Amino acid sequence: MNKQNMKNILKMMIFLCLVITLLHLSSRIVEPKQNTKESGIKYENARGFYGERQNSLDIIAIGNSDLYNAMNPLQLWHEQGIPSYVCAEPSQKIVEAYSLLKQTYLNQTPQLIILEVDELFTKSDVDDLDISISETLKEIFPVFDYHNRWKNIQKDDFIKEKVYNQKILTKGYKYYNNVQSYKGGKSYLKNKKKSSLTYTTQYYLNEFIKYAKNNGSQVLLMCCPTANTWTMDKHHTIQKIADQYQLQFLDFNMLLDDIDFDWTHDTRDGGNHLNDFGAQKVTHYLGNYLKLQYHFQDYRTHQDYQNWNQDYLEYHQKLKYYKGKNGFIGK
Amino acid sequence: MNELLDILKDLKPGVDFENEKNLIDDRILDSLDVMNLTVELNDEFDIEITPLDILPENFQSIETIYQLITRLQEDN
Amino acid sequence: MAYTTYIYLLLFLGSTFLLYTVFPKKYKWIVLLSASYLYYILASRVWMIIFILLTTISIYIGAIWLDKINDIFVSVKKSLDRQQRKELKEKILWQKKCVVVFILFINLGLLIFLKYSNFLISLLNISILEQFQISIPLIKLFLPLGISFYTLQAISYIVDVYRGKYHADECLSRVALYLAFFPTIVEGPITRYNEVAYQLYEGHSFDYKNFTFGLQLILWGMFKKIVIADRANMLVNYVFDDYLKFSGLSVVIAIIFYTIQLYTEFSGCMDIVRGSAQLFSIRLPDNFRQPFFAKSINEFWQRWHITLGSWLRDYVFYSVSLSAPFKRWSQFVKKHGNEYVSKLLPASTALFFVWICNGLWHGASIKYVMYGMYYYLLMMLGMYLEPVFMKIKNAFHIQNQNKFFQIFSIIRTILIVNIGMLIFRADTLSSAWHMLVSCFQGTMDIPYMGLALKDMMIVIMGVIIVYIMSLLKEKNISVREHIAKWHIVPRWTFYLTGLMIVVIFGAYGRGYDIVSFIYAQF
Repeated sequence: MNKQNMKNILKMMIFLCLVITLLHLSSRIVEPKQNTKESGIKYENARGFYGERQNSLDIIAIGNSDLYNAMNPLQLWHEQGIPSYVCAEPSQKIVEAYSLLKQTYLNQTPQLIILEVDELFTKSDVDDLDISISETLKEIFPVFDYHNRWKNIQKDDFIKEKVYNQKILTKGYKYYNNVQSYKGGKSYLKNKKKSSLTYTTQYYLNEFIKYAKNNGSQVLLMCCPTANTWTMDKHHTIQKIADQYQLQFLDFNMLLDDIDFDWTHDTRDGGNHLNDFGAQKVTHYLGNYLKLQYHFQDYRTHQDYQNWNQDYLEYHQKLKYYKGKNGFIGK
Repeated sequence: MNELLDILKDLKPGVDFENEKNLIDDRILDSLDVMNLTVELNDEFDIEITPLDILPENFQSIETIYQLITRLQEDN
Repeated sequence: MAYTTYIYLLLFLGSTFLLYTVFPKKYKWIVLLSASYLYYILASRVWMIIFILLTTISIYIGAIWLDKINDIFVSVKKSLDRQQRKELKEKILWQKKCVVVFILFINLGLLIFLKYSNFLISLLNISILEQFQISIPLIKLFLPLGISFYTLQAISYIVDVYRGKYHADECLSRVALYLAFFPTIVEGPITRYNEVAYQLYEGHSFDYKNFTFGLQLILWGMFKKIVIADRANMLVNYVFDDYLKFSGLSVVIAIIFYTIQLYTEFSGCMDIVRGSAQLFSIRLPDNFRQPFFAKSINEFWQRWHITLGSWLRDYVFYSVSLSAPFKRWSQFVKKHGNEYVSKLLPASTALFFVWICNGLWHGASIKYVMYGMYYYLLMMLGMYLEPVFMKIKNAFHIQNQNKFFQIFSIIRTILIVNIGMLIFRADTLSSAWHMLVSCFQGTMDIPYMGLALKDMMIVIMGVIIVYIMSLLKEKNISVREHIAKWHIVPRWTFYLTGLMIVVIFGAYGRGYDIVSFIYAQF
């Protein structure tokens, strides 16, 4: 290697360092300073766990939109006294679930992680890899995530440190009460869809499970009723994975009769997502199942958890006056 | 040569064909002109210009066009 | 795997570049060829690669075959007298013609079958079969990635060998790499064998200047694509998807925004493509030369999608205009028509084929044929009415060099191009017409058009930057060379600012949809 080449390589190194510094600095500016939508967080209901008391949650559930329409932590609390939180984002991918999982351990030590498995079925490795690179970049340099905040940047963004302490009343659940029937009954299970997992998904699923276990949490795989994506073949794929990792797999699509589920009444958009009627059935069954399988402590009378009882009451108070369409999460 | 100059002047009046050396590169002649010119030359000189001969370097100046014509006449 | 994705830029291009750099010079082409096939498989379906392999092998064998026929002629030529030579020459020419037609039949046939059969079937259904109350069902077909681009390259190779421009290549991998080179496979530029193939095949060792220039070009392309085009796209979709709701000034804005979008997107993609190639010290031909400085439609098409234009010129225009039936036709016109018509009619006939091909190449529908015809008719108008225009110009004593006249010509061209873009973008011809009419009706108000004011400002500022760069390039100033001479502090500040502008103002991620490249569909 001659002198000129050495010089050029050195120049590239210095340039790269400058790029990294700039990305880091800009990240600190555009990063939301509070875990709310107003501060720039896109899916704030998935990030309300920051506002919960340190190490107070026993269950963290992670998944896509199917999950936040099906599992209601406040109902679970009321019926079983288990404090839980739903970290679900629309069309989340396992890479994003993995980075959300890592965030939850910043202030929580859940005993159980529930992973909604509908999100595992993706199109191709190329897409998944692209998302995983993007997610890695976002983790290191949040500017890739929040760059669009240039539009409403304020003075505070330059001087304030970030403080995430905003609570979400529904603990990540999204309440809808409209009904749009799905008329196909259970026939959707016979549909033929791609039912294998990409290599990237398998890799991140493995990382996800490993990470949870290393932090002392158990993992439960769960699938909410969903008529337009789920099939019997997918069920078998996940069952195999559950066996391989020795995990429990709770597939509500197989339990429709047990929970008295009615596709004509319990879905809000023709079979894709559940409404509150469906969520009540799913959550009720889930609560009994968790009690039986995992022996969670009942905190309903515990003095540190009295605010949960208040939240439950407030939630039902607010629902009485709620007439919106966009899903109620409450703040 | 003079015959050729007449044809060119007919085709594109006002161009100084005696001295222009970059007819194609300077975009004085476009593909339409080249085509019209070849049709004309084929008739006038009884040659057959093929697509192969339509290279920029063959049409850059009156000299190169003349060379092309003489080459094709010899071929015949 | 679009060229703007992380996976392409960071993973695919990055690792290909590293491998290419460390491989010994003699074997560097292996890296490029395997990367190209890998790209093809990843970006499309595995079995689709059959089509490009078929094309590669057919033109490879076809070209060698053509050369062999020629060799026979040359080897026996000397021993023959003049008459025999002429006979043999004709026979050889006939054989060569058969071979080239056969190869073209395979490749064009494949393209026509995969891309146009449904169009042809529906034409047939509407025009003839409807009267008999029968119809042929449409076929479900997959279009192999880049088939419209690599087929044209394949044709140029085989036809050039047929015409004797160069000899057939004995090296199959070079032919394969020429067709499949991953930066050019999706959107071109449509390259020529003699210009690119040897560059691709021979190994280039790492070159610092090419490396940095390549990266700069990619960054510039990213700026045009994700800062301007993807942002403009939101407004364009908002209005075009619901065009009945808009009229007046807002429609005009939407049409202009689409022109901006298509130009910044396509030329931005070309910059990423050419930048990618330059990392490997490979120079690809330019596809754009400041098209919006053109003073006529003719000139516009010499500056816009240049490689398609020159392909159509060399393989459609000249093939048609120098063919035997065409020569008879032009002689016929000459004999029977007056001087004025006989001068123009042959050219307008040949151009007709060019514009039909141009339209059809963009898509298999009546709309695209009309898109081609729109430009054809305007060009014909210009050609046939030139004497009238000359008279008007003389009457007003307007010189071509007159500055105001030049600006007028540029604006007139931009106007015509915008209408062309409208035809291109609108769902159907009638919606294009509706939008065109509604430009002149309705109000000057600007309602919400799917884009916040701040985003609108970014688009406008981006366009100004692109305009300045184009102006400099039009004046033959190479901005990259110029900046490279700056002192390191302002120079690096410039590059870092550019990078941060793309990172921060890029319309990607949350709140923006990823927009796939428009030209990748052709």
